[in-house]
Amino acid sequence: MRLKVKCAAFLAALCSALWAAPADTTSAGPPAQDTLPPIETMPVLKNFVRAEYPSDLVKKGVEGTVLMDLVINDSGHVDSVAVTRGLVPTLDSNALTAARQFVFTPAQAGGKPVPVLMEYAYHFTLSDVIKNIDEFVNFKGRLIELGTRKPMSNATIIVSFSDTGADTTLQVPFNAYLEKIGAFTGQTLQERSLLTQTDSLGYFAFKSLPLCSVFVRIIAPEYEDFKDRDRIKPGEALNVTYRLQRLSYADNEIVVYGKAEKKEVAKETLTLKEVQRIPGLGGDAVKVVQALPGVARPSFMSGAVIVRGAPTWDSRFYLDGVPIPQLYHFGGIKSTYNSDALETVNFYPGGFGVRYGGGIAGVIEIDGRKAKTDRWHGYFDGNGFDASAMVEAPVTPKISVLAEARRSYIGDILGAVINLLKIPITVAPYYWDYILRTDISFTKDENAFVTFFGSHDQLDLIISAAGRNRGFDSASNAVSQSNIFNMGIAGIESRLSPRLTNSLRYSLNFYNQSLSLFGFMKYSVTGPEHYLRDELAWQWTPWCKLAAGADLNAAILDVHLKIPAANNTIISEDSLGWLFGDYGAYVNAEFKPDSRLSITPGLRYDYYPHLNYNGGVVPEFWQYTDFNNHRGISGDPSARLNARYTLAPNHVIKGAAGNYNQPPQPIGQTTDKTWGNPLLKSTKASQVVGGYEWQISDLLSLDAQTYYNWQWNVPRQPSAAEIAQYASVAEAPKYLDNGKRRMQGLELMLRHNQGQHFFGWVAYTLSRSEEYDFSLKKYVLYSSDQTHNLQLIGSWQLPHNWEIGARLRYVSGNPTTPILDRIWNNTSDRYRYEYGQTNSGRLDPFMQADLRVDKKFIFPNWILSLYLDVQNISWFFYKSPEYSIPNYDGTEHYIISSPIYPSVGLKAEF
Amino acid sequence: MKKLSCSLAIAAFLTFVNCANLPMGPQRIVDNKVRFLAFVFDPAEAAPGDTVHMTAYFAGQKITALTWDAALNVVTNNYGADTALNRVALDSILVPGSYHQDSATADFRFVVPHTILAQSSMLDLSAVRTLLPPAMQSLTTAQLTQIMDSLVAATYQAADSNALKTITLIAKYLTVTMRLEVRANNRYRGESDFTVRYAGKFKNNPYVFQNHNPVINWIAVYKVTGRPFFGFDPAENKYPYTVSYLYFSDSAVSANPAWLTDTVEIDTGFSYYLAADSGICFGDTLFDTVHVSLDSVRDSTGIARVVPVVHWEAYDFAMFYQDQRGLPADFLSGDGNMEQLTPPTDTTVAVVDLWVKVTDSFTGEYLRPTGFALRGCHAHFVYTRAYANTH
Repeated sequence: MRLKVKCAAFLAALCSALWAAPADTTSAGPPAQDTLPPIETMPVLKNFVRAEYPSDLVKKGVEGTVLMDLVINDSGHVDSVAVTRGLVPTLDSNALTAARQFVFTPAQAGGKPVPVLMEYAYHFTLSDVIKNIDEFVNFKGRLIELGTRKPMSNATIIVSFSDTGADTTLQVPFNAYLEKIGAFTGQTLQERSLLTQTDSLGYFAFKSLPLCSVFVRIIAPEYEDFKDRDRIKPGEALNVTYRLQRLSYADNEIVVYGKAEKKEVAKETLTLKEVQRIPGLGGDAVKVVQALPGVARPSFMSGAVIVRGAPTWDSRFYLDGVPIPQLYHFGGIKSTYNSDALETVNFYPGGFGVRYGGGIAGVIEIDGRKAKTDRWHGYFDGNGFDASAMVEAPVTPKISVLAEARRSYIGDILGAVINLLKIPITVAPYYWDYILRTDISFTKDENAFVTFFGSHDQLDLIISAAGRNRGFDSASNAVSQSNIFNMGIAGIESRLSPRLTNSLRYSLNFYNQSLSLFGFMKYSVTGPEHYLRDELAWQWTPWCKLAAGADLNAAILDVHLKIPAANNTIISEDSLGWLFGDYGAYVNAEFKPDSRLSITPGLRYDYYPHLNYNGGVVPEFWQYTDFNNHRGISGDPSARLNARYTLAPNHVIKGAAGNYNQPPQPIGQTTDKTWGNPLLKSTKASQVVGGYEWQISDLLSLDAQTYYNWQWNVPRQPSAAEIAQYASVAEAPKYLDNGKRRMQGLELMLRHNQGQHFFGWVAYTLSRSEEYDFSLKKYVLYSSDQTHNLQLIGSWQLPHNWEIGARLRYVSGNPTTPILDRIWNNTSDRYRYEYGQTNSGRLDPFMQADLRVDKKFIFPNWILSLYLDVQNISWFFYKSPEYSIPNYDGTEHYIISSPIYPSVGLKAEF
Repeated sequence: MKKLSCSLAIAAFLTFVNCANLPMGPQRIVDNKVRFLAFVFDPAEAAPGDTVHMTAYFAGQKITALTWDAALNVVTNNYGADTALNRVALDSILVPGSYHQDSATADFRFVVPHTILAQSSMLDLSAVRTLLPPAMQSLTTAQLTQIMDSLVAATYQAADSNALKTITLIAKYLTVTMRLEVRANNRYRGESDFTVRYAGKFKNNPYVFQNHNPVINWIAVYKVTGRPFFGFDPAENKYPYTVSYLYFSDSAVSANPAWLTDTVEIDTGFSYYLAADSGICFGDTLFDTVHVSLDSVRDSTGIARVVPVVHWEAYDFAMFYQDQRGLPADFLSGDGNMEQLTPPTDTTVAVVDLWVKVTDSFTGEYLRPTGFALRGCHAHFVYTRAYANTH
């Protein structure tokens, strides 16, 4: 309302008229005019009366202002009212009625109350009515991802209304109502639609929606648009659960984008998704390193991991920082640690730092992942070889558990077929493994985990012979092999202070390996292996981080061996409590003087308690001849350095150099008192690596490396001619430690990280691996040399949850040694060969194409994946040679090529 | 049976992995290559100074030239790396006038040199020296050899157990190998090792095993009704069969001459197997295959102990045939003392030359003395009308 003094002159005149003295008839002239004092105080409304605002007019949205003139007397009451500008008759009348009841404080002029005429505006507004609308939730729900049930946070939900007249209970026009409820907390009004967002658990709510049909639309990045129609009913709150379908379900694992901080020079990190999608590798994490540069192609059914031309035993393999006892199930079929329980695979083909010891080639470190903590998850997977199941869940907000088990059934199938055909053999190859992991988050600065992990490989082949059983014992017709281990791993990561962290690992592993071969050879190894690692890291200054650590590895084994020697005797040997150990300690420093340069020098010492030699006192980068370095205990020091320098944004050069050492390999055999030489020294190596990285884009990168490695003190068996130089065979050593090898090469990796639709890489290795031949007195090719190794890998995500991947390989043929002459032997009735230069020939190149197709079926609460993985689909066009087998007299060679191997699998996960 | 199953499994695997061509088995002898069949030594082992009769059997390409050598020091380590040293021409050990040779055989007598032990690199009595009587523990190898020579010369036969044990230990480890090498037709090379030791000189010692050559008692063709899928074993009595003996040892033949017939009737609906016996199969000959010997066992501290160990002598069979036109590539297939025989599809094939070689094996015996036997025979095939009509 507005007060306005409309006509002061009128008022003044009126007042004069009312207060004027009686007319003086005696005066002859015009009457004298009186002067009115000015209004000193305006009337103030002290008693407002609300005018009736009929609901029908409210509903029609009729609102506006009624202008009135009020005569307010000197007592403050309204003597008269008149509409000067009306709205609608009803509202005019109601305004008049209300105005007549107003009470004001009277106006003041000359210190006395005076009547006034003033204008008053009475406003009829809908907002006065709407402010009385109740705020209550009548539409709520939850948004989760179709198939995975993952809550969707920060998704936008839009509610639109079509039949705006349906809600007859609205007191105000629909649009006005919307405007009002659009201001409620948690929802906004845009273009006549209400919007809200889901919270971190996927919940949403709308308040006071009109009772009508609503059209719901949900927009979330990377998800298909969702639309639905519902109805808001009186007296009840609509509660819904909406499931949105992702555009692609291939990304439902942890994905590493962009640049992970790189410290090591030659490191490649693979994500779990990449691991599981590469064709031809069965989704196996460890086998996937074969697809990277620097790793040679192993022969069919071989589990070898040949890094930069070095044999498998020159490399080290870790699980969560502790040595993994057995990398593969027999035949290299699958790795023992289920890939679905892995976080990442870190591969160091060389030039690695002092954190790792006891190896001279490369390092593969696989990290187990924590259980998912959002809710229960699990899966069942069945394929051509085995079946596995996994369950994981948060037990408490701070504790999560993951459990997995897997068992092969190829042996059961084979046995059933054999029984069906009544073949008189019994064969039972099988493997199983399990993982049980618990993660505990004590505080934000301290986390721990405990893992129980075990594997069991068993192969029994019993050939039933009708008639007599000839042999040494009842096992004469059988081959039996088992590799069993059960280990526990405990780890604690602690942030002791803002700049001090500690990482502790302990593992205890129980070995049980045995082999029995037709009764004339028996072998068993049992015993525990302890491993303790601790690393303390201190961020001394912003540009310098120091670390010190120790890793202690001790295996105490009972070895039982019964084996025929070449002189036809049977050697039985029982070694109880045989200690194999590697006690290492190291320090390193990471210097980052500026953002472009990083230098990490380190020192390490490894002590081998089971060896018996005078070790080095200073790091040995080559075989020192002028300086007698062998004055210490049975161990050797190493010094390593790696550096990275950013030449320009996205361009990095890097290098590493260092020396390495390991116990003589194969461990045990080489230093055994009967089969080996207990006085062997550790095997040593030096590596030099140089490289260049170019981060072409966020997803595309190029990595080029060149390396030169050389090894000495490599154990080797003496030749027959060398043995003959001794007075008797018994005096000749079974092993010498003067072997030498050298490896060099160039590696290129053009990689496209996981994008929305594609990941893949091109990996090429040009390499040479050689071993010194003491009879020829020169280097010759080593058996694992592969000059060229080219791999093209790609995986594409297609619409409707299809994914297809391909892998193409070209690898130089394996070296072969020519047969120069053949000599028939009367006893064996076979030919032995006189060979030419070792590895001077080659098989034809290896070329293979693998294909993988995945299809996901998304159900409301679970996902079904089907996959077909075909190894060697190129078999129809080219049969790559794997082995060359001579005929009985070596005059012809028969090439064995690897077969085509299709594998079908399904996986149901929730 | 078991070897047939193994063969099946291996063949299946090779097929699965796509071997371009399965290798031709060693059973097939072609006439454009010299094939060594066996070198048979009599006795199968000998002591220094003994005379040994050696017969070499060849097949395939006719023998026109043979050059023999002997190596008196064969050095072998635990891993099997060996080399032959101290080579001499055969003439240096040959008994004069004893050499005979034709297009398929050669035989001669040679004398094992007395010095063979002295020039060997293989002698090592460290394994048993601590087990000898104290007075003998410090004797050198040469001195112990001299003692053994003296005992041999005196034809000494020990009576008490301690003496038996001592002689056993010494005889066991005073064992060496010599090697005969031959080059046939200036191209094809063969070799055979021969064990030299004193075992044969102490005949009443139950712990010393002197090896003898195996004997082939018979060679036969089994004609079996039906087609056994997993091999045939007459002991199972699953399939009816008849036997044609291609060869039978003289003593039995004289008693049952009708058993010997080298004619094999080939008919449809039958399977054929070539089998041989060397005293162990089919339960019809002597079971002279078990003995108890003394082996040294080394414990974790490296100390050797002598323990009695039961050993089984095993026999390995190899069968061969002379290839000729009309024979299928898998005429003989399999392994062991019974091999499947696939009859010729060409009914003009009348005679096939066959050989059976038996080698004894004895794991656990130091430098294993090996015995050999070889027997050749012929199979005359006659074909029924039904078979001829279908081939």
